[in-house]
This record gives sequence, structure tokens and C-alpha cells, in this order.
Amino acid sequence: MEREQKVFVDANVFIALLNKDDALHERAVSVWMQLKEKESRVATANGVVSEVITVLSQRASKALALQFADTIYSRSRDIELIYADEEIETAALGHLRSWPAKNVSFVDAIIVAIMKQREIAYLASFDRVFRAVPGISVLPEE
Amino acid sequence: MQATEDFTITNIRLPRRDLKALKHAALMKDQSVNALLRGLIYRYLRIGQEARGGGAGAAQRSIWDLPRYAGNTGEPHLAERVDAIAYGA
Repeated sequence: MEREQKVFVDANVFIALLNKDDALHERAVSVWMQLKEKESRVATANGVVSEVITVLSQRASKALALQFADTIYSRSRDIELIYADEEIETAALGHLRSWPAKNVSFVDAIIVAIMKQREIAYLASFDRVFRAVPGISVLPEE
Repeated sequence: MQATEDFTITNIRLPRRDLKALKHAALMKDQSVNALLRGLIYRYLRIGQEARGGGAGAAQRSIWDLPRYAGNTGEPHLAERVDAIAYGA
């Protein structure tokens, strides 16, 4: 990946990053450090933020969920928070219809729709379903 | 920023395309153009919101500091089970 590329970040990376006991924690920290070193421009979506806050709040701690929320909503210059509008949701429905895999969520489809619309080539995610999506390069590489 | 802070209004002359770009940037950040410009000005003047009396929660954080907030949860498979936990899938 070249320097200063834009990278979309999925919920599982944020969660692994914030959960020291997660089996994927070290890999998430490694990806995060690489993105930082390459001065990547990171983006995520409000649906992803909702997933992270929900999972952390329900299974980890509300304090951890709020640390994440406060960082995201502190208007950090380092991350672009993209709100899915009607155009993105309509495109996402199309992706959901044509996606061969069964185990995808609507937020997964929204991620693809946003990445296609914004021409974001890289996705930081541990979810294997994205590896079959044309035009998306998933980090970390296998 | 404190509610009692003394505000004034000023006109800024700038190219129409720059104003459009500012409005777009503000929309993307879910902010008003006023708030966006104030943030830019404060950063330029190196006056943080905390220094201006804002609450700690309002202070701007760096996304790259997220690992610093990591904690122990006793849960080894949260990242793999997002859909199951969030949607009961």
C-alpha cells in the first residue's frame, strides 16, 4: 500500500484494537501502526460506529465504548466519519442483492457502497466476506 | 467554548468555490460552517478548546491514540462476533 492512501476501517478492527484480550488484538495494533506510519487517511461510517459502540457496551464495558465514541465524535481530524445517505443505502441494497455470500449484514453492504462511491480501494477488516469483493483490497493481507 | 463567551460577526470575502468546498467539508463532518471555521481558526492560533474553558469531553482526540484506551475485557472473540452480538445473527 502506498503512503497517504485512504483506508476504510471496519468495526472488527476497532473492537480488536480496544480489546486487549481479543485474539485479534495484536494483529489490529499491527495494522493500526502501519496505517499511522504510512500517514493513511482513514474513514469509517456511522453504521460501523454504531456496531462498535453496541458490541463494546454490551460485552466489554460502557466506559470502553464511550472512550471510542468520544474519540470518533471529538471531530478528530485524523478520521472521516461518513454518514450513509439514501443514495448510499440504495447502492448498498444492490450490493446486498448481488452478493453471493449469505453471512453479510446491511452495514457490510453499506461499506462496499461507500468505498465504491468514494473510490476507496483499501479496507481494514478481519471479515473474510470482503476478500471476494472486486476492487477492494483487504488489510491485513493474508 | 463557554456559553458566556462574547461573540461577534464578521464577513469573510472568499471565492465562491472555496465557500462551496467549506460547506461540503462541514457537511461531511456534520458541523456548521461556523463551527468548522472556528475549529480551523483555533487550531491555527494554537488555542485548544480545553484552554478556552471547554469540557474535557469536547477536546479533540487523535484517532491514532485509540490503542492507548484499550482495556481487558476477558472476551477473546469480540471482533469475530460483531454480527452475532450486534444483531443476534
